Amino acid sequence: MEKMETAVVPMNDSEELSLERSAAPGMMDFGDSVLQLVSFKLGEEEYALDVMNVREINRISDVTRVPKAPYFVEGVMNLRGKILPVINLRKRFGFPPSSTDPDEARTIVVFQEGVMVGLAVDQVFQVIRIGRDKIEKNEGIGLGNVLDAVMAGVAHLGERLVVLLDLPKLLDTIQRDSGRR
Amino acid sequence: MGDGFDNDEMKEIVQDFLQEATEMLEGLDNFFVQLENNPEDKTLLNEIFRTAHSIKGSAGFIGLTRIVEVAHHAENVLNQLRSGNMRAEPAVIDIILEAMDALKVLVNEVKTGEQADVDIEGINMKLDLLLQWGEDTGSAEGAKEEPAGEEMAAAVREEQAIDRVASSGASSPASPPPSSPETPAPTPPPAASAPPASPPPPPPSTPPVASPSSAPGPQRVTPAASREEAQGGDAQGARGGEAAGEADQTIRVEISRLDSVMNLVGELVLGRNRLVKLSGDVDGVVDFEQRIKEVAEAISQLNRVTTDLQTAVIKTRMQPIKKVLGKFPRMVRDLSRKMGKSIRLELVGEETELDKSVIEEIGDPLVHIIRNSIDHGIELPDDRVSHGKDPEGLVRISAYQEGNSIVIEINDDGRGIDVEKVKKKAVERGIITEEDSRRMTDAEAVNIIFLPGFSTADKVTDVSGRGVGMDVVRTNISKINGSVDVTTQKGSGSTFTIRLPLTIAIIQALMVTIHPETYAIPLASVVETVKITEKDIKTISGSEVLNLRQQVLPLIRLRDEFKVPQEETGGAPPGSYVVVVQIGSKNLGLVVDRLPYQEEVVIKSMGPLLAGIRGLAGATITGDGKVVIILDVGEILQDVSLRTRGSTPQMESMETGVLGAASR
Repeated sequence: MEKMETAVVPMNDSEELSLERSAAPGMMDFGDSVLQLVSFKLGEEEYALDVMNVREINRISDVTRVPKAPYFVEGVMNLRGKILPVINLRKRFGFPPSSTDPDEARTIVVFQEGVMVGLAVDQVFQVIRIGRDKIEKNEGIGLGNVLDAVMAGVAHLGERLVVLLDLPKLLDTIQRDSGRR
Repeated sequence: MGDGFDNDEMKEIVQDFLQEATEMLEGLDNFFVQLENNPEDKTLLNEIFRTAHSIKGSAGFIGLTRIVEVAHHAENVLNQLRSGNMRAEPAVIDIILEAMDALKVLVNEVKTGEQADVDIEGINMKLDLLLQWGEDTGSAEGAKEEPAGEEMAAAVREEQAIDRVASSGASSPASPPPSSPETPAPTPPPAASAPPASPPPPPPSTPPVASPSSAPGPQRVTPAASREEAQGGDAQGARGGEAAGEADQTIRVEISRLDSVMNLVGELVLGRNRLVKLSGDVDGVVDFEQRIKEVAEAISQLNRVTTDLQTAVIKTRMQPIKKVLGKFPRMVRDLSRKMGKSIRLELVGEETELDKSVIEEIGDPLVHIIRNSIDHGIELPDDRVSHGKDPEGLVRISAYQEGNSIVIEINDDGRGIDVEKVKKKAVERGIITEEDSRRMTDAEAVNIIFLPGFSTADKVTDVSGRGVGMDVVRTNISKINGSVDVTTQKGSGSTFTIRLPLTIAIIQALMVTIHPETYAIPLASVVETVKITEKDIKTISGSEVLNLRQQVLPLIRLRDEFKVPQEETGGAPPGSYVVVVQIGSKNLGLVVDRLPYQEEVVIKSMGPLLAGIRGLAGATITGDGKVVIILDVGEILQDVSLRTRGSTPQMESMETGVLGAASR
């Protein structure tokens, strides 16, 4: 039953990872039935974003605090000459501060409709290939308001539960809350 | 035009047409103004005819029938002018210019896709009437021709004016000038359909409304007609500014400039390869000193290439100031005709180049200054003669580069600014005190005109003095990090001098630290810096102030304002320096820890997510790759004065901050 549908590619976490869109056609064609996800951790919990939304993943370095910014904005970072706002997902979801190794922390750079944002996470975990049928479409299972609003579903990987985030919704709500000051 | 160009090729053709037509129409405006001064200029006439014809041709090719229609009727008139059957009277030019305005609106309609209200039939009819009259009087004596022409045109204008009055209540200010939207097809279809044989203009039984006049001279027109023109002229100016502000999303760049960018990028790649190679094979290196020397060489080459590349890229954004100045001959003509003044406009240094973003922002302030010069500066011809001046006034706009800035001078030979009157008014309005006014030099006093709430005009005219003062000019110019001041000589004119940075993306900034953070303050708004100790800071009703040379300077501590986390500092005690900043007439002291250095910084936007934060203009990246936040001094001043009880209405009415334009 569970032959190849769920493949797990471990990440080399000592290197910066660049996910080039152009690499996709050369890969195996999984068709529409299979999703590729980038999974990451906030504490012990595992979350994931569609790989198509992810530009690159960087170490967090030299984040400049932005005064008067919303509480969940970690600051801004130099991304090869561009100013990249970094959102602290932990704060955004109302989680307590991280206790994990700061060396593991990463920013996942996402791009959506002209807005480029870095999402600060505790650790980037894996790239997961998973069949769509393995994802439980569940928008909101009572995990708190902010998170509920941006959930696309839950992926079941054996014992693991991975919360799949809806990036457009996530950015929309962030944008909305940034405007309201 | 809902013709639904769905394929890309067609879209491209339409885009090309729009750009071309816009430029050609702008050019035509100026040609007609020139023609008015030299009605016999055959070369000019031919040029005009060719241009109009090619607009018609390309519009026809794409199937923009409305444009073709107007262009066709205009072309008929132009043909008469070219063949010498008609003279380029100011009245004739008025109507042709009106047709050109209609064409501009129609072209804009294609651009925006929104149906514009253009009274094509009305314009075509006027053109036809003009043509008819031309044919009928073409053979008549020249002497007879002129007054009749004036009269005909005046009659037409009056018609318009009446229509305008009828519809003025409903017409929105945004509606384009040449057409009165609600106007039913102007009154006289009978006249249009009248057989050409019928005697066209009424015989001069009524006293001629306009005296026969040679082309460029002062014009007297009926009040109704002048009203009409006033509205036309105003809207024209406003629209010119708007069009410039709309920010075209494309730019034309000379191939040679792109080539130089390509070359430099090539060198950049070479430099990188060299460094990669040097850093790659470290194994087996014996002579490390030699290797370090090679690396240093490669870096210095990269350094040089990067600087050149920066310049080359900035150059691709540069455009000749002609793009803005080109609109002025027409505007000056319309204004002077309307005010019964005779004015010659001289443009110098039209090829001077400015950054595209500066070009877009400078239009409105220039319009304002020029209007001001024409309205308040240049006297009526009779006055000028009685003062022993040439009846024709002169407005000269010159642009040139001076070091790292571009200077634009607007010079008129009018009556100048009455410094005593300025002082008196300023004291009356409470902008300065009696004592200030005695202490001020004339050069200082005349610059009071840029302060908010000042206007010397005793009576409000159509052209200027609508309560929007020179302070807006200064605010707009300081938005693009420029400055403006004025010098004047009573009786012989004034000169406005605008200084602009070559590009607005790069500014001089003063770096300040509030340990452990660093911020950048645009140097343009910094007046001075003062070293203080904690006990220099006094409080007045709870607000902290500094007594600086007998003046009370309000202070804010940036550490509190920005909630900078407190850290143990080993060095100087906090609050060691005050940076005095000024916007308009308001001063504020910003308390910081240290002033490490000044630097030229490139302003970068923080993106839509953070763009709305008050007091921050953007960010920059320093030499060591760190991001430093740039302050928006204007916004900080505004917010502080709103917070304190002593906030003045002047401050509240101030426009947004200094760098607002750059960061958004």
